[in-house]
Amino acid sequence: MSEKSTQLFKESGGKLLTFLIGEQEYGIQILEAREVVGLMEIDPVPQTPKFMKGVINLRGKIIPVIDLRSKFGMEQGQGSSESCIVVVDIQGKLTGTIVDFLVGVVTIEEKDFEDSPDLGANINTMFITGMAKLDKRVIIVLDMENVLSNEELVLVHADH
Amino acid sequence: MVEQLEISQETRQELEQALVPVRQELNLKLVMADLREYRLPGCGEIMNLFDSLATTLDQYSVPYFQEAINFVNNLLTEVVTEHISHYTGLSYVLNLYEFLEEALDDFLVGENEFEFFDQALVRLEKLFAGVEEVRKVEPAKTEDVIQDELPADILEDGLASDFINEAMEGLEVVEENLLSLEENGEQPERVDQVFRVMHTLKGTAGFLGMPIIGKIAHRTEDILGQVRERKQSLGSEGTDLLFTSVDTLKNLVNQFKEILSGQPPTPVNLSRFYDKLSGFGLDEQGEAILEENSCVAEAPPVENSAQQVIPMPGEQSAEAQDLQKKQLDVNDVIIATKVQPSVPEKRQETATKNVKSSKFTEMLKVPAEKLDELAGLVGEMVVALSLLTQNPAITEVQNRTVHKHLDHLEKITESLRDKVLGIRMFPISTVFNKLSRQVRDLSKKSNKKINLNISGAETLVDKTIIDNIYAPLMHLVRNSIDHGIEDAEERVGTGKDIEGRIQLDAQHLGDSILITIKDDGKGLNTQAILAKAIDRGLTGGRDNFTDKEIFSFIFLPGFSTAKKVTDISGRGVGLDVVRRTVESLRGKVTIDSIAGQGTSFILNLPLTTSIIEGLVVRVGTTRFVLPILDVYQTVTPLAGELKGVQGKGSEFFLFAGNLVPIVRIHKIYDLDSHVVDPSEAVVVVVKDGDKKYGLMVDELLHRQQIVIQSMGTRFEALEGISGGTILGDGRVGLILDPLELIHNLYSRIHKAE
Repeated sequence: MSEKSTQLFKESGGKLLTFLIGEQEYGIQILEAREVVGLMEIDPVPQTPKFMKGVINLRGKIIPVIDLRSKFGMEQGQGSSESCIVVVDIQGKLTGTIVDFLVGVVTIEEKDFEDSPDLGANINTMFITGMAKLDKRVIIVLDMENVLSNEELVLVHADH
Repeated sequence: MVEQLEISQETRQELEQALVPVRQELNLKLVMADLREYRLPGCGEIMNLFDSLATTLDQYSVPYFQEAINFVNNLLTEVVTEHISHYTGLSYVLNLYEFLEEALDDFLVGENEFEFFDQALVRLEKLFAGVEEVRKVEPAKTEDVIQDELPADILEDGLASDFINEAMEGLEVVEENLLSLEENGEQPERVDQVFRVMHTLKGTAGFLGMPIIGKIAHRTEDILGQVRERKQSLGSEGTDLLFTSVDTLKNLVNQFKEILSGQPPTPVNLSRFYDKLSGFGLDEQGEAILEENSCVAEAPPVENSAQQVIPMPGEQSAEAQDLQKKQLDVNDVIIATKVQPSVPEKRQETATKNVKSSKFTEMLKVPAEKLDELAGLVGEMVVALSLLTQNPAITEVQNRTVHKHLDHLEKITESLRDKVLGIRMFPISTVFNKLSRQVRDLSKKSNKKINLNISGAETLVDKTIIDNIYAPLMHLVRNSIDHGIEDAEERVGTGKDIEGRIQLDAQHLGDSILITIKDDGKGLNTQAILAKAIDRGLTGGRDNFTDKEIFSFIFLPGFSTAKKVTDISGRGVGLDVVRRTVESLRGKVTIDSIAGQGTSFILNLPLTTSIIEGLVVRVGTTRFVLPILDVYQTVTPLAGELKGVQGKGSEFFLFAGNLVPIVRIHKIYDLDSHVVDPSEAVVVVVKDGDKKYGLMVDELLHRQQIVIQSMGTRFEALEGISGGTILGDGRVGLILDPLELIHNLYSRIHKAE
């Protein structure tokens, strides 16, 4: 079992915060989720990649917001009234991630969890901790540390 | 490492053996000679022992410690000849011997550097020099002690105040640990912690010349040391003793505080501690003392009224049954230093001196983070209030009471802001003092006599600036000494004073701080700088530069005209580092120089680094904030004033007779903007030295105070953006750093060409 999976069951007790992007349900370890806020005005920041939507004012603190859709190379969705921002806390750094629909908190059993599933080439496997089954639902557990880390948010300046 | 030494490890081991008897004897005698009991033969014995220690060291050609031993023997001579009280003398001897023992142990295991010991020796010698005419020890009426006041230099250094705060903090830690030990029994790590505090306390007290505190801490440390070695638990008796030690120390420290603040000191009773100590049978040293005591009990104590032996309080305790206690330590002493004829007089004197009360300031340690949060919140409050007062709905209100209350609120908010920002402000003297020490060194190294003049050292500046300004200032001072100030012959030749002058000055100027470093050296060589700049291809074919423009070249990376690399400067770390550091503090550095007369570097820094006055502008849908200090003027150029090729790199507008390049923000950041014609836009003119640039934006929105927030490491690479801020409507605005923006832009254009 990978370090991340161990952490999932040992520290987060198998608890996931799950949400939808498109039709697919994704989950992040409950320990990594800080809070969920409604979609608000996002101020764009120049010189940043496309998935970096900009920054928001989270009660006086400026935090970046990324769009998982474009991060995962999926087509741009229509923002809906159901869309919201999940604020993730990775080593004290807060980052907002836009999701289409917040599902809620679920607890998964270790036996229903598969460490490194073959999901085809859709998503970079680095971003995934594993896959969990819950009744008939299939939840892709994201490794937010990898999704967000070693991420230079600023593009190197292209000469104009 | 050991091989390089003159004294081999074998010799050291031999020496260790040779020293054992003399050290043992010395330990014993010093314990016996413990302060209160003055006996002439005792002093002689101790001197003899120190002599044989010196002889032994000499036999093994050990170059260290002789000075210390001489000092000790001088002290003892003074005691014997009654020039100083035996208490004062012996307390110095004991203090020094403690340090000496430690240093000796270190030496025996191969150490050759005794920095701490040397410092301690210098400190003690200095302290002792302050003990001049000394009153004989007066018989004390009570069992209580009142400590001596410290020499003035220590008081002025603020060391005493620091000591009190530190000691109190340390003792709280001890208390906490003791409580836990009492409750949960054996916990070696807690014993260790207590040990450490006591050890530090002993060291500092010794260093500062507070023998009583040092001694009690030392005894306590001994007990803990034994507990540690034998790995046995303290037991209730031990804990009790330690609590008593803490209480006694606290009382002593408090007494010190009282002395410092000019209040009448509360006497401290030491016998509780020493009673308990003698009752605590663990102590090896204690056992030795008990043995000694029995010897003493046999021999009648020396009664010599001329020598002013301190009698024990109350008749009943003065006798043999209490000898043990008497022998053990200081119980009731008033020590004299300097010229203080009698205690009551001294008290009166201190009481009338109100100045003394400022010597101690109660301190509170608060995490810097909390202060930052507070500053941030107050900043937000200022902003929120300014938005409220500028809101048309409010400005249109006719009711005068409403405006009166708003005015009042504004005033309170302002003073709240000043107070909160004031918490982070410290006098720049800490930096200046460090610099003056360096100047002394540099002056020696460079063989130039330097007269450093400091003014405005009390100027308050933000902690962030204090933390970061030393390196650039040091660099500039080095620069002045190395390149500015001429050699002695040259100075004399040009009719200057042989001593070079450097003036270091700090002052407040409106919302900023000016720090000036001025030398009376040869001034900057504009020819050499220009030649170098042309050589480096930095002039872009121009040749009509003003002096200021030429000076600004020396701030470019890797620019140094020094002909030789010296020990002091010219190692390739250029003035560009100075400029960058100053700019990172949102400041500016400029140069003034007159050939043959000297050079001034002028640093202009903001008062605080967290709140600035900003101009909010819009480009497309993005809002930027420009620090008002960077804004020279804002204009909308007329169509006829536009020159060059529009929309290309080479576009200019006519501003006060000069062609000023236009920098299109929307192009740099790739923003959608409908305003493409500069004559329909607003151009914000910024100055980089003498050069002006026009930043083209769509619209000016308003001016407001903003709280600068870091955007975090992930946005560090953003060009020309130094942070973010929450604007009045709760959205985020990006703070522009126009100079960085321009520098990057032009260095890119240069590369492209």
